[in-house]
Amino acid sequence: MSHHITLVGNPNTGKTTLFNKLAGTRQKVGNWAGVTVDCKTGFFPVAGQRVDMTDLPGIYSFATESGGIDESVARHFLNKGEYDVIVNVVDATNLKRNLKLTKELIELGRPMIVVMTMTDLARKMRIMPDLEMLAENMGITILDGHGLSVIDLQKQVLALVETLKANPIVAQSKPVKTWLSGVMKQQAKAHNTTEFVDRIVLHPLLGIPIFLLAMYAMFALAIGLGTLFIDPIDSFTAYWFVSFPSHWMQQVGVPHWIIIVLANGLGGGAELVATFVPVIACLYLCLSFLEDSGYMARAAFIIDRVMLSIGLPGQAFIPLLLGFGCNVTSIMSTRSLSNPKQRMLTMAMAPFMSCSARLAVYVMFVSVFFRDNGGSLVFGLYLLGILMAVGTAWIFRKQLFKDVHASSFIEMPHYHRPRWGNIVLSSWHKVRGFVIRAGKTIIVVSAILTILNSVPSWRSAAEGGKPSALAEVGQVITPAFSPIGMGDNNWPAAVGVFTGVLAKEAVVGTMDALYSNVAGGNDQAEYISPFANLKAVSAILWSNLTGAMNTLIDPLGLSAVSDAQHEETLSLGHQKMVSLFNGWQGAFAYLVFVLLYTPCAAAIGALVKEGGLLWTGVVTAWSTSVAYVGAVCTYQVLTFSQHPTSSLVSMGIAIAWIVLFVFGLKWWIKPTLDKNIIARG
Amino acid sequence: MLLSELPKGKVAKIHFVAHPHEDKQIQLSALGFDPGETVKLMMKAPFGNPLQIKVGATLIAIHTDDAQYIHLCDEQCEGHDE
Repeated sequence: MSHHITLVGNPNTGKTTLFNKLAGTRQKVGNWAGVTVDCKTGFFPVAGQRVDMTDLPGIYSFATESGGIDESVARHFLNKGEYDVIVNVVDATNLKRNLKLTKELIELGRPMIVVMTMTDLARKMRIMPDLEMLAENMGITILDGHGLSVIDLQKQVLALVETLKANPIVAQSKPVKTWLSGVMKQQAKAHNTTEFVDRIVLHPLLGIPIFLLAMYAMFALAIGLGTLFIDPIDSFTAYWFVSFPSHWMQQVGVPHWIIIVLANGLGGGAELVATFVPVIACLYLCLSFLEDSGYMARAAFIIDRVMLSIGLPGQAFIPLLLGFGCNVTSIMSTRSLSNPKQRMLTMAMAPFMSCSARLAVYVMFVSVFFRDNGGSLVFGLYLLGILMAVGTAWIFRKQLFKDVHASSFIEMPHYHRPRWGNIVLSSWHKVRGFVIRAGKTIIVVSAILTILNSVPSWRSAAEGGKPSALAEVGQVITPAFSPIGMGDNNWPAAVGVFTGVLAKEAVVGTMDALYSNVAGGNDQAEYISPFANLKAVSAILWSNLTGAMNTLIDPLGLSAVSDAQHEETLSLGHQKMVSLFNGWQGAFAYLVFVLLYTPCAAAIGALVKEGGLLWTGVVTAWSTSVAYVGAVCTYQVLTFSQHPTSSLVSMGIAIAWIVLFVFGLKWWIKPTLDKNIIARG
Repeated sequence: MLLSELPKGKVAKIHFVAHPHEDKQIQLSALGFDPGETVKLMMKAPFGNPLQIKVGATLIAIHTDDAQYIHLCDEQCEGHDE
């Protein structure tokens, strides 16, 4: 026989821990219909029966019509969903507050049991209630979720559910005070660990340094550690998804174009998704750790005042910080924001944070054009990105989210020893969610670009044909880039813009290859045996791990900038590059463009997953426009004295476009967006 | 006295909560800001905002903008329990 229970409780009560304890790995995470709220379901088999569980989002109250998405999802399920028994998860260290929700639940008139969590902590703090007495006062059975072993807990839950199904008794709703009378037998400890730790980490002077240190550690671990695994995984998946299948398809005689679509297109897309897995996995491990230990709420508390100045709550700081490592992780972590408008605003800002892939492009340009002042140039670009992000927040708030309230109340949970099983399990589910849901978009976008890049041009080389169809497209649109200082013959730079959408660091590879006149398209690596690949992969992994210390000291990889400044002479390809760009001004404008333009395929995938198609469209169009206009203005200002009239005209048109965009947001986007948010809420 | 004016470390009782936003009034009550409940200002964030308040057994971060709608009992007033 099967039964269905639903877990309901306040946020931070250890509800997820209880869910994991009962279900183990027999669980899956989906989305509630139409909203970006995790919907966790799972089951456990016990005594030949099956108990299904639905985990509702953590809420304080669901009685009111107002409130956020979480509340409305919970209210909808509790009123209309199919379940036999409510399992109310109650935090023993916060009894009185938690019982307010219990009271609301009893008023629904459905059979219910209570599972008490954090009982270990409550005993330590000497605030553990007498469970038997409390159960008697309430007329509801109470289980100790922490004290019972997994199997005992499962058995007892099953027994209670069976009893309640056979004989549905509904408890009487009484004031919380009546329930609590005589339940507390001990005198609470005057001082507890949480308050002691808070006096240090929230200290007026020490608080900020500790916060910065924690953020640095998280960044170095999430981005630095994750990056170490990118190359080995890239080399491994490139072999198994691309080279290996394409080699064997060739041997069997599969037509060339099918190989390109399957191996280079789809296989290459899958390779791209795989390269993001280590960084995202490390990120989720770090975030889960911060969340589970209780420091996350403190970090938000410390930085809250600063974030308030751009209309965002303290929690938005972490996604933006992570953007410097990888915009994908940044967008994925916006989920920690409960308000959908604040979440969308943060997502719109994230792409302007200069990620580590873009640094590769800066390094290349520094080594060619800006050897004397590379450091300050790169610093300036990072700063420009931040300014654009803040500007975006300001404009979007004015045009789209006028009524977004930044202030909200954050509960600061008691510090808790991190539960590793929990952390690993929840990170695993999130990584799987990324691969499955964002992966689709990433594969499609990257397959289209890769195929275009592999298809040979329709003109032969003798007629001046370019190496690929993408290069021809690049040549056609090069004039559109002339206001940003790209010469008519500088089509490799235009092609770089396209491949940069695939992944920002691809700009470097593309330009390197095209400037040095290496024939594109057929530059597949020589086929090696699977054994040789594994050997190569482990060699890369080993050399990365031995160099790990450098990553911790320099998580952004900025030392590459000073290395580039000390390179000896320019290669032939780079000399050609110098001749094709309109001087250093053109090169600088191009960098401004690369910094700000269209998010990469993976970031677009993450945006679709977290913000929906419409918002992805808005963010992509906005960043592309800002990049173009920013680059035009940069180049025209830098070369103003050479052609004042045409500079004024170009800048005028560019600025007119941005102004039109800003007003367009209010006229066309806001109505649709409001409708969407209301439908979601 | 208002919660926003409570000196650090001092314990007081809530007299009543009158937040102009209905939503926030409900949220505050759900978080435990009820008449008669004890509150204590634990910490202030850098730049004086938000405040870390202990209400009952719960620690809550709240902005002074919101804390100014929570009225506390002065010495003569006794917070009436719910």
